[in-house]
Amino acid sequence: MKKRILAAVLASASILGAVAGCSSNATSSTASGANSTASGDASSTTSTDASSTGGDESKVETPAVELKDDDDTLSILAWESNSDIRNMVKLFCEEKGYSEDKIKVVAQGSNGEGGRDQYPQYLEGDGDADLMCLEADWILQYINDDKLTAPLSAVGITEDQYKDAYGYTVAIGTNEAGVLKGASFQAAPGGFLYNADLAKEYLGVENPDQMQELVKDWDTFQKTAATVYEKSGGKTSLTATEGGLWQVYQANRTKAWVVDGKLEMDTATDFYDIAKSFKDNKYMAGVPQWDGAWYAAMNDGTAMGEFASTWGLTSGKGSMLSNFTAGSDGGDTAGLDAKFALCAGPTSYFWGGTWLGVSTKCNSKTLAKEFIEFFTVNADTMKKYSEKTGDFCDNKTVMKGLVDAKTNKNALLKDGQDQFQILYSQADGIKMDGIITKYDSKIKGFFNDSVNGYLDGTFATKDDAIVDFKQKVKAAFPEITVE
Amino acid sequence: MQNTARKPHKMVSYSKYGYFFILPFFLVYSFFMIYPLINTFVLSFKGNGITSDQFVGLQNYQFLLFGEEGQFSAGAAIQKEFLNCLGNTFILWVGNFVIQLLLSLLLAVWFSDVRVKIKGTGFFKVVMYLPNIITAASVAAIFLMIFGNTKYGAVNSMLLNFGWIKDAFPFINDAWASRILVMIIQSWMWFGNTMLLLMSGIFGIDNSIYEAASIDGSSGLHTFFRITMPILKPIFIYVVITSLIGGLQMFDIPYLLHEGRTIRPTLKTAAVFIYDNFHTAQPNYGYSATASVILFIITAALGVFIYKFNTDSTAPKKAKK
Repeated sequence: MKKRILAAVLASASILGAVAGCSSNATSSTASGANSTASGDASSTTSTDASSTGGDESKVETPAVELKDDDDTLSILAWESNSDIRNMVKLFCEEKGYSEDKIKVVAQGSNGEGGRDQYPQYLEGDGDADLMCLEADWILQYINDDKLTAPLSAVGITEDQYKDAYGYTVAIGTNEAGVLKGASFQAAPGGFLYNADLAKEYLGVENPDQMQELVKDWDTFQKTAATVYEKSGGKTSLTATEGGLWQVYQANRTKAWVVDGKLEMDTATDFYDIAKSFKDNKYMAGVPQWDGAWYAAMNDGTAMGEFASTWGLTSGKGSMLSNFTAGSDGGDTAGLDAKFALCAGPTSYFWGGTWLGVSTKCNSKTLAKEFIEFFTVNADTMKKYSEKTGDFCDNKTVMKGLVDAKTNKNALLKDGQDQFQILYSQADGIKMDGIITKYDSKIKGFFNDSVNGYLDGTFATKDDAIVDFKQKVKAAFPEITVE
Repeated sequence: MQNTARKPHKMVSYSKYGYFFILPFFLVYSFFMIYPLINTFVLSFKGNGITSDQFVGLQNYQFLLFGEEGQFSAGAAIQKEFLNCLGNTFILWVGNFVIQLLLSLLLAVWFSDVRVKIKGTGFFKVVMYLPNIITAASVAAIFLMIFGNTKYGAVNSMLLNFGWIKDAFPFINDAWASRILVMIIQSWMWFGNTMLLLMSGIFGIDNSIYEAASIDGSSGLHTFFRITMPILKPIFIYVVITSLIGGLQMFDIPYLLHEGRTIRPTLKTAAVFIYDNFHTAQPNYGYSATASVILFIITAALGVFIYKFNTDSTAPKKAKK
């Protein structure tokens, strides 16, 4: 008899052991009635508290997608290096008087590409996801997939609320079926960020206007680069990375990467030669982008400047500007001198930008709406966001007001330069809709690899590099026609 | 359970409880191992990207192994990519394997040799096993700092300061430099593990055999080849086969050892290929699964080959027993 009891105990113990992973969040998952498969992040993200909200289900309209509203916390999917969203959460909680536990940033992947690849896996699990950050390069992939994203109307936000937004941000946030699924909190015009101390030393430049004269078009830009290299005795290049250069150069593309299912290289083929000449003449330091070496090179003057767009120019920790100033990824800038200044650069261009999308798993509708409206609709709070972080918010009126008031001071730019003065004039020129595709993120990666391969000698000729690029695209996307 | 107790038989069979005990394992195993395994085979006959749901027969196998007409056809493109990855896998495995095995064999023999009498073998064992405990991510980060492409890498900055080189040498971007680096890292990480396995094998050899050999005047080298190696063979084969399986699935270091955001094409292994095609928002499940199956077949074939090749000579010995 004892044996039998022992056997039963042991058997149940071993079964319990096998599903032990689930027991830690058993309480929360029973509350929400969800399945109890333990996923890696479940314990940190699921804190479903069904009991606290009772009859709060107000039906404003009948959206195509019915989302739940039984959770009083908001989980936002983002990636590790996204510094904007953390600043936003902080501001949101401060202004609304919420405790910061209420909003959780769920980081998936270390950078935008990591997020692109890892969101789907996270969404498969039972982790909470209400909103997600979507990057310009791959937002179309997400908003055109109804399994991943819900329309903004599902949380009660309509398109006519975005009259003041930059048109292209709304166009990109709208999917192929014409449904608005993404709202951007930033317009992403960019400029040329340069080391003002070195500019003074090598070029005798006193202010951004003088600097702009020296980089106003590509010919002048290259002449200036030659001067810098010569005057510095070969120590300093004018720009840092191939990736940054491409971002500006691509502004003159007239076609999307993929048109009617066919790969279009357009003016991209010329970029190989341009990048090569920049590398050979040392106009470009040639450090890897998004790497410790990049930040170090910008900091110690190996590279004098880099192209940066609004999200790279915020003064918060972890932005490009902040990393350049600190000389390392996520480094502390406290007490460091602001030595960078901003000018418009050779052509106006845009770079990236982040949209907020609603997950189909969203279960805190009210809070999600509140958050999106706070950063993309409400002019007062958007103004506060721009003032506080230095990000270029997606509202023409607000930005006009800020530019006219000239009150903005960027702590990390030389003499507290107001980057809005420069970015504002660029923003109207952004024509992003129609030339971005859902393939862009990967294709851009392949293209930059191919160019860098040509620069470092992996490919003997430009043609080899182009063939390799085309094959990479075809291998990753069998459905694209490549010629 | 109650039913069995009420039965009039005096003999109560407990044997069926055994099945209850092993049930949890089989449940977990079939759910997490058998099903994915079968599913991989099924997926290898399905399409890629937007056509992931369609059955395409053997097309994936044909594309990966034999390619397709036309320079920019899907088949040609993916074949080039796959063969490159497979080639890298073999290069990296062979390089890592040779260094690792020679080093660990040498150390194992020295540490276990009664005549050499090395002091503090316990300490050395621990120290040599240590790299294996460090996670691959940290190891890659350390080596990236040491061998960085630019002048900010430790080695480059040293060489530049000494004036031995004029421009920073791209250790990570150079095809062979990076491959050799991976070989060294992998060997460094795993030689301790292999050494312990071999040592335990050598310790299992009867000391009296060595005594007899030394009385007969056998030299160290002679003893090694005539006594240690033949008796060590089963362990040795085990080490070779496990290393083969591990080596062909090499993933972490090649995947992590790059600056910037993309994996070095000269370090892409078959496992990275599988991950790459699988782990995107619009995954090429077909290619991934097919590559997995091909890798499985290659590993199995090589394993069988090594096993057969090495056990034939020992067969008569077994017969004598």
